[in-house]
Amino acid sequence: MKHKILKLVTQAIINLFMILFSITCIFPLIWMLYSSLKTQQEFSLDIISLPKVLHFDNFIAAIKIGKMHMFFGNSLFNSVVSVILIIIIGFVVAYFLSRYNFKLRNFIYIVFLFGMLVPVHSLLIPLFIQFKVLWLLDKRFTLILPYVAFGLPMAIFLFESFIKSTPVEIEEAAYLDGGSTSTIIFKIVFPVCRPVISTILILSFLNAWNEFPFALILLRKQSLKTLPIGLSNFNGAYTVNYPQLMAAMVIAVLPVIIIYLLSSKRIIEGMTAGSVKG
Amino acid sequence: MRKALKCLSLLIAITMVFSLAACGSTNGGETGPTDSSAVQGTGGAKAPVTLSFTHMFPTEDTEGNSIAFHKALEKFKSENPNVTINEEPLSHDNYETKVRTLAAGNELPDIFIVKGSMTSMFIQNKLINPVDDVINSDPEWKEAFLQGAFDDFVVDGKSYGIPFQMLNTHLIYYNKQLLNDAGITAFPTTWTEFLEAINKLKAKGLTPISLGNKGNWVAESCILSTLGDRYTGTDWFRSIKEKKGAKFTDPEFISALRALQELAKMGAFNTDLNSIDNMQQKTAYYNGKAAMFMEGNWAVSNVINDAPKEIQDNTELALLPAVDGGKGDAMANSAGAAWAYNVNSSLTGDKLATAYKVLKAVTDADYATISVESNAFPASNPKTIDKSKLAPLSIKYLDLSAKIKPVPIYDAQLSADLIQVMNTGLQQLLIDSITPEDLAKKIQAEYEK
Repeated sequence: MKHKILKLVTQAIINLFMILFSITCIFPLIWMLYSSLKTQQEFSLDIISLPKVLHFDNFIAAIKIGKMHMFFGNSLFNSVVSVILIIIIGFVVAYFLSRYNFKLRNFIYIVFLFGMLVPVHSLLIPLFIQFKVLWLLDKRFTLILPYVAFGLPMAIFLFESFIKSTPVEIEEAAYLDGGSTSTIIFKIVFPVCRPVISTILILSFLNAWNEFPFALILLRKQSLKTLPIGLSNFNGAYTVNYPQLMAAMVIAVLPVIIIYLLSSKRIIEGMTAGSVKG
Repeated sequence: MRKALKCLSLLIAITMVFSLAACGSTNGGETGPTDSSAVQGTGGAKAPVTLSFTHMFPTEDTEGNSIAFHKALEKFKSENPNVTINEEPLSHDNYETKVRTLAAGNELPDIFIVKGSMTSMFIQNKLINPVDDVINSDPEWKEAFLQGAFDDFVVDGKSYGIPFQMLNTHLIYYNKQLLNDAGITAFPTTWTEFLEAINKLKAKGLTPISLGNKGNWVAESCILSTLGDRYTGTDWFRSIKEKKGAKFTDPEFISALRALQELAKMGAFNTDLNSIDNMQQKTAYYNGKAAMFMEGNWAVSNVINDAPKEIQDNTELALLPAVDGGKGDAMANSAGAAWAYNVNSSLTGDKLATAYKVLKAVTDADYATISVESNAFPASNPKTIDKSKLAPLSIKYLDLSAKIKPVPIYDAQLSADLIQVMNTGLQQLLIDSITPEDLAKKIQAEYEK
């Protein structure tokens, strides 16, 4: 009996501790949500307090003036297209790198991996000049090119090590049954890679969604810009209209949170499946 | 199957080549007509002109400068329907990154904004031309500008920018009521009185000066630029800037650093000064828990918009008092335009003339009227001010600013690397983890690099 009580108490303490810990993680989000309903004056008087009156004007301003819906669409387009390209190209390249032995195989692999070592900021000006000379600035697909290029090294690295660890016998069996190379690649190996695909999907989606320097440098048309740039527009030179910025951030973050809540189980599976943890 | 795959890859390759070529030609087409319109424009007065304009006033930005800019530009657009302006608004912080990259790629827009410290780099690369001729040819425009407005952009006697704002980076916003309650009837006029006042306010349980130096520029731009001048005088700074012998290790500059550290040591500031920013430093003031804060004139519109009515009514403005043995003027105040417009040096003919017309619309005396009415701080004198449209604090500011003698702002005139050393050093100085002498040596070492 005594033993049982002791166990209950320790469990309660541990749970309490964990709950407090979780609150520190979720509080910034909650704070952002309710702060977006305050007026600028309320916010500057007290940062933490709850809004006295629900003030939805910030959201109207964020959409009407801040055009958050437009930035959101652009971000979504860029992220989705680059993720699809990264996965298809990365997978095919990695398959051939891991299953075939040819001249310069190691060289090609290393060249791809070197991409992970290049700091993005050192490439801003060279890439800008290159894009200018090639007339690639200010197009719908402008940002997709660097996003794919920067996403590929990690994708190839993860795919390559994963494919190497899967038994080659499955492919041999498929070959004996008369499957062509492309059937084997896309119908046999691709589904086997599912855990690592979700890892790559999440990581490269997040990278493209949050990417800032290229979006700032390579685009001039307002109608092509992405969310991170749109959000930064709320910062003045010396002052920030925080409640309006919060409202814009809620618009930017809410869909991501909803998607996460709907598919959190799968995302965590994917995160833990790869050999490299996000 | 294999053949089909080969055909497919060939097809993809071909389409890619063609799409690239197509992009090239459409872009070429775009530049074609604008070039020819510039040539045609010299004949007819109302030929269509298209200008690209990269600025730092997004419509989301609610500062007075941004509001005034948009009002003035809208007015220009409605008066000149033949002019199309392709704007690219960027926030202040991103603007600098972008304009530097555009300059490196020689892709600057037709009209843009330069920072005082950027001008020499732009001139070396022949990206901008002096604006003196244009300004001088229009006396009305020229005369409206405030004294010292062009200072940040003068290189070899020529001005390379048309200023639109006049920053006074140092102002003391104080709560008259709180000072009265602590037994201070008038704002101190000597340094000793100022220190006494701080002690009295502390005894009342108030934070004497609320400071948010997380962004690390507040202590330097809003306090030290003026405090330094009180001790060193402006000639010392000129000598520093032109590398004519003055040193950061000179006793006058060290005294300024020591005075700042003494303020911190005696508890004049809040203890979390390095972890809150300049927006948050005003929170304590708005709640009546701090008696003063020091910030530039941009905070005038913050106080008007955000402070509770009674705090706002009690707010008065002052400058740091004179210091004992200081070489500076007590009415000197760190001020400058910091940013200014200029046009791309490749513009010619009608486009050039129109570009200057646009700039006149966003800098002249009419603009100044709009600007003052938006609680901003233009670089020109407005023709008429309808004082009834202004908030009381704005009027107090206008009265004070008329008496101010502008002296340089450190971060608008010194190199970015040096300012970085100074700013981070000041953060340490304020929490007493570096002595004024050591900090002065560090700044001097960076200066001599």
